[in-house]
Amino acid sequence: MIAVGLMGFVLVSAAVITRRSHGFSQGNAAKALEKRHSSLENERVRLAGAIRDASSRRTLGPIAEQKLGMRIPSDTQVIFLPSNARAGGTP
Amino acid sequence: MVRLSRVSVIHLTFVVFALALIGQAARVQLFQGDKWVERARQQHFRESPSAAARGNILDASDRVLAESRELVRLAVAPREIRDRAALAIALRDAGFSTAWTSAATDPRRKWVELPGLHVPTDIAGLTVLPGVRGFPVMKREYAAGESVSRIVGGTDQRGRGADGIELALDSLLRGDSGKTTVARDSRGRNLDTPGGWNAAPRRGHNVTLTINRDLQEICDRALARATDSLNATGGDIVVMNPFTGEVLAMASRRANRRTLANTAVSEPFEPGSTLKPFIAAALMERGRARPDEVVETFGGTMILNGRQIVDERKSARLSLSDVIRYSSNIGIVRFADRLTPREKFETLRDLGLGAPTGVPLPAEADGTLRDPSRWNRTSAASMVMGYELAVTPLQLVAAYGAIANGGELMETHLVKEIRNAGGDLVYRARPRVIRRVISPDVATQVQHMLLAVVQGGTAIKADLAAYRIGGKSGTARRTVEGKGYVEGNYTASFVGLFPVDKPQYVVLVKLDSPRGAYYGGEIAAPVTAVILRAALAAQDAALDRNELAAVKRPAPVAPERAAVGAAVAGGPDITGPDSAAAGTAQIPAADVLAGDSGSFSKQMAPADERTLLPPRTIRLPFKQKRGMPDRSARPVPDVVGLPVRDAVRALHEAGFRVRLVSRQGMPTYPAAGSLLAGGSVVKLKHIP
Repeated sequence: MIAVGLMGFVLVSAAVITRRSHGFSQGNAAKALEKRHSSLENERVRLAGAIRDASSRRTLGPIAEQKLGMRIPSDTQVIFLPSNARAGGTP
Repeated sequence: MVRLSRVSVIHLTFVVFALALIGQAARVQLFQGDKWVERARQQHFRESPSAAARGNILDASDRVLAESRELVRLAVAPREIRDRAALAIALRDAGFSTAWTSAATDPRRKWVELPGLHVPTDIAGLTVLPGVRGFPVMKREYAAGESVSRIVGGTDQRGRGADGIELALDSLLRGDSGKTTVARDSRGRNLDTPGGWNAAPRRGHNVTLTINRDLQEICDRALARATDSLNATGGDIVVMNPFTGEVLAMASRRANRRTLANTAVSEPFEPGSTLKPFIAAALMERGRARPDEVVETFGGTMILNGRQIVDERKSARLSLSDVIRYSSNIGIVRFADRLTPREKFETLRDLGLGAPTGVPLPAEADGTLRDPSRWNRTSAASMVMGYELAVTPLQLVAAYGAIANGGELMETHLVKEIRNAGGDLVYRARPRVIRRVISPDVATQVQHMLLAVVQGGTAIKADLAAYRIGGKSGTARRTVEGKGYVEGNYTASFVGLFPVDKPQYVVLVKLDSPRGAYYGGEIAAPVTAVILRAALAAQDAALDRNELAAVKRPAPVAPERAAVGAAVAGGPDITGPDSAAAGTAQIPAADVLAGDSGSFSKQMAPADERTLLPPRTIRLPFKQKRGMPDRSARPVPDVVGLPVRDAVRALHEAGFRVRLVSRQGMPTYPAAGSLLAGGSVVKLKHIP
């Protein structure tokens, strides 16, 4: 009887320890994923900023003018087509 | 008496002891439970503060101007290192110097904090090594651009706003820091498990500015080029929507690059002649003068209270319109005599001069507008010429906004809206009229005066071929500390309304102490034209293109074709006595030409009529003067492949002047096909 009781105690203890270990292991994995998510988000912000700066007029303007020979069109060369609603046209 | 056996005593002792244990357990569990649970929690867990990310600062099109990102600060506990060689290699790979690597792996040290902030992915290999700790730090990243930083400002090392919008709206941007619970092992080290939030950090609000980033960059570039080419000590550009009061761009530049203040709001200047339209408006508003009313201007020189007042353009008499058009100091002083000092003061005060606009930028200056009781005997004349008072560029633009929008001074906005981290609207700026300053009729009359300034006055270099611009140039002497006004030291400025028919922009260009040319109409007005051309070509520059299409000037066409067009359209064909020799031009129909041959003035119809009537050809009833250059716009011919002599001839025949340049690039500048006014210089590439 005592042996059975001791066996039960050992089994319950083992189950608790296993569950706790598993919990810690899952926690570590979750923390690692959390860190990776934060890291990737950080990288996204960095790359988005780099893309923003690289595609800004400030960067592209001089390149377009100096390397590609492009220029800002004169105001007469920019044509705005009024939308139908404003121009009174039919849809 | 019962005598207990020795065994019984032992049993009884055990029972008492067991009862004591049970009693103590009951006391600990039932009566002291909470206390011990708290102590255990303190031993097993630790509260760790967690900083909230600051909110983003966005432009009007939701493009990011400032945002926070998490970087990592590294520290090493050398005594916990297991593999020193591996750590040394990892530190070197991460870019740390040999000195720092040695210090970090020195077992005599307990704790070494490594310099710099690092991207987590760059040091991922380091932070997994025993003995290396990473501490997250929120870092503020800003959109590139000197002027953006003057508006947005910056944060200090503790992440608090230090300047600009970051400082003014710090309480909204910074959010609320939180607390997290971290499990600890028996040695007190953090267990790498997800923490539970006691109080989750609350991210700061996102602030959307009225600034348009494209337009801001256009202004930045134009200002940089202008100040560099003119050797100016600085300059400011402000662009505002006159109907909403929204500041669309605000660029500032100073020769001293360490000057980081937003000088467009913090540095008042004497506006010079850009103030004259306000005096003209006050005169007309009070019925003291009409636009066509004339005063003596004494051939361009007048002595007033012992002080000589001089006009650049010498005239015997000028109308009020021409006083503005040619920026006559004498004319405006003579007309302004019809206003009392109090009326002049109240006019300028009501336009917002001498008071901060209220935009959320630290250190906004009030400007200077003295009460008439503090004027001296020359102040009245000085003030109407734009001296003895100081305004910030933003104040001046806001005041011109009142002329542009029909007479209402609008509240100036720099913040468009504020949303919390969840996206809920916290604040949205709405156009708000502060007061009506002038009547719509007077505003329209002043707009016409400003149009004349650009079409045939002191600022023709601001003109565009396709749109009508109104504006006023200003050239004011600058003072030097201890020396007063100094010869050759000027502020050149131009304030433009674009398009004058229904303004979408009020643009101020101000250049400080330019070298060489210094007239506002000569150097600041062309910068305005450059900005407007770039804005028209930009994908998003806060322009209503439908409105622009409606007010666009008709494209210039050949005279024969124009005549046919007029006949088909049924428009009038006003033919003079010598129609064969009459000049022909296509102009908006409602522009009425009056006057005699050789000299005429344009009186414009109300804006609504101007925009509704179709263009038609009018033959002007005067002979074209012999030798008068034809300034109408025409395309630059394509001279690619032609010998230089032939290319020069082709350009001359097309009505252009030619300058040979040896630079690399396009064959001609402007490129073939560009529309250019006759008589303009075309640069032709020629490498000998």
